[in-house]
Amino acid sequence: MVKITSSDNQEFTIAKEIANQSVLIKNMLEDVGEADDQPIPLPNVSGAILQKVIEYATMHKDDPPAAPEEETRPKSSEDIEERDKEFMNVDQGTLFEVILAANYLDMKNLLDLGCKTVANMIKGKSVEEIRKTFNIVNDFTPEEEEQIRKENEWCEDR
Amino acid sequence: MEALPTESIQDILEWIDVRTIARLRLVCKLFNTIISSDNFARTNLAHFIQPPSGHFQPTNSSKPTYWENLFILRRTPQNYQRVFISQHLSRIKKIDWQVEMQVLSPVIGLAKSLERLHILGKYPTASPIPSEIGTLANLQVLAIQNCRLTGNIPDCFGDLAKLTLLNLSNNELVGCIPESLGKLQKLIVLCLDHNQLSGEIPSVLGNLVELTDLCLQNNQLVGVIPDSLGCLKSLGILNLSSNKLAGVIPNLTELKNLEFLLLHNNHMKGSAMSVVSGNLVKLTDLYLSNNNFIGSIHNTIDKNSFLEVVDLSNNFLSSSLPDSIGNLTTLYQLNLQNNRLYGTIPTSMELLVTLVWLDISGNNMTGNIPQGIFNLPNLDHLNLSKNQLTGELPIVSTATPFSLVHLNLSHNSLCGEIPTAISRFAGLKELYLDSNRLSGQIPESIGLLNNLVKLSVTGNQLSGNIPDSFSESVETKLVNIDLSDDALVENKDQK
Repeated sequence: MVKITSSDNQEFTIAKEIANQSVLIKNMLEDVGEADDQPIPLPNVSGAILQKVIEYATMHKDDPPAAPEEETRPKSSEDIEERDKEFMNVDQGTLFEVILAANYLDMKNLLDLGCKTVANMIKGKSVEEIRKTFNIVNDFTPEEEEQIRKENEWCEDR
Repeated sequence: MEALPTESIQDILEWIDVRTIARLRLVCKLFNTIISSDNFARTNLAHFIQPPSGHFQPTNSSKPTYWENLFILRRTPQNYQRVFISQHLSRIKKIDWQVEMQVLSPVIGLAKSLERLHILGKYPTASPIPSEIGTLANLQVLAIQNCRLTGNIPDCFGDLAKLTLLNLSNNELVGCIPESLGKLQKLIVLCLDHNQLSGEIPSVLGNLVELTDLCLQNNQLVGVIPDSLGCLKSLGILNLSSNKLAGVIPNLTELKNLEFLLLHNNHMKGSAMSVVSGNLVKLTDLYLSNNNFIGSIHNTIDKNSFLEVVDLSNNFLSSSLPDSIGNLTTLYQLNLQNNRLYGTIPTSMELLVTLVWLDISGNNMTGNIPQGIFNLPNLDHLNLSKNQLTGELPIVSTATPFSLVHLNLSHNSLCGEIPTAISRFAGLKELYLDSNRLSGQIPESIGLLNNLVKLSVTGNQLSGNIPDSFSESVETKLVNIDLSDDALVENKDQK
């Protein structure tokens, strides 16, 4: 078993094969060795999000490793398992925090899942809708906007 | 989304389909910066497109194929295309694409395996012709059309020893045709038409013995046509029209495969007869109009039995029309207008059953119009105006209606009455009989010409009433009518 602590000092005890899904933790464990039972501090992740991450890792602990040929196949953001879709059915703030945590913990599958989920929220929306959904301020001058529109013109309608 | 670092936003955008990513540049500056970076383009492309093997061409297959992936590229931002091309270009053998030359120019020199480069501009912006193309030693087909290419044709294109087709038509190329092109011994097609090329036609082009198509029309070429072109024995198309070429037509009698000879709209002089002298047995289209050719048309047009289109208009040709003109039984267009032709219209022209378009206007033709001309089954356009034709209108009633749509016999010396049989021109839309010596009344039957939209009979000696039937036509159909100057009386109750 491995002990980890969140930024708000919540301690979690998890099985090693679950902990190893984070490349960050795996590397740390290898560095410190087996004997050490000191909890690993994860100062960039809150307890609530760490809970969520552990939930994901537990769900996927028996996954087979990705086949090498899948690396070269074109990928789609629509490729999401039903249970993952459900797992990601959270508010936008949590979603972003999970992405940040996955990035920090170096968990590629979870990072991909988070990014695909956000990408799917972007898909099919107008530029204005995207700005509204994600609270993005339009920081272009009208001239800059016109320039981009012009550059884009020729890649549409063909 | 402010909570996320750029890196994570990049991770998210990687999942957006490359076909729709261009649009997202408009969201905010950060998005635009990410999408416009070549690194991001590389990763984003890797998600959606597999690298190509040999041929760079879109397909329209319903099932997404390997090549359909490349079709996607057309809808991506320009940096994507540049990245993709530069990554894979060295392996590509063929490019058939509508693309901005600006995208291709910086990297085209990398395509060392390229055998075929065919680019059609769609929304072109002007860009210089990339001289790096001259280093692609495997190139066999080089066609860049409608791309607003500017500058001179690089000399190094003459080093493309395997080239069989060179087509740079419809661009904005300037300068001379490089002498070095004379080294392209395998060239079959050379099209540099519709540019702004100047200078003379290099005589070394006469070395290109495989050439079947030589198209240099619509440029600013000057000087004479080099004699050496007379050695291009495989030539099927020679189009040098709409330039500023002067001098005489060189001896082309060896070009036994020539089907199309287009030299119109130049400043050429001398005899047009020397062109063919009966040797160009395959010639179908002969355009020599708008030059300063003189002399006879005997031999020019009467010995080539496959001629379909002959346009000798607007020259200074002076001769009679040979009787043997009736042998041109494949002819469908004959334009001799505005020359100095004289004599009578040969009755043998009644044999030209395929003729659709006949114009001998603006000459000095005399005598009667052969009756049979009006019976030609396919004739649509007949213009004999501005000659000195005499006699009555030889139009008699026939079983089948005449095919003519446009008939112009104005400015001659035709006399007699307008025949009642004029109504047999059932499809006639335009009828010009003005400035002749026609007399008598306008026949009632003219009202039967239901399709007539233009009629002019002014400048004759017509008299009597305008027929009732005709006045009805005026109200419904005729839009352009000139009856002035004649002693015509309009019925009081009309109009």
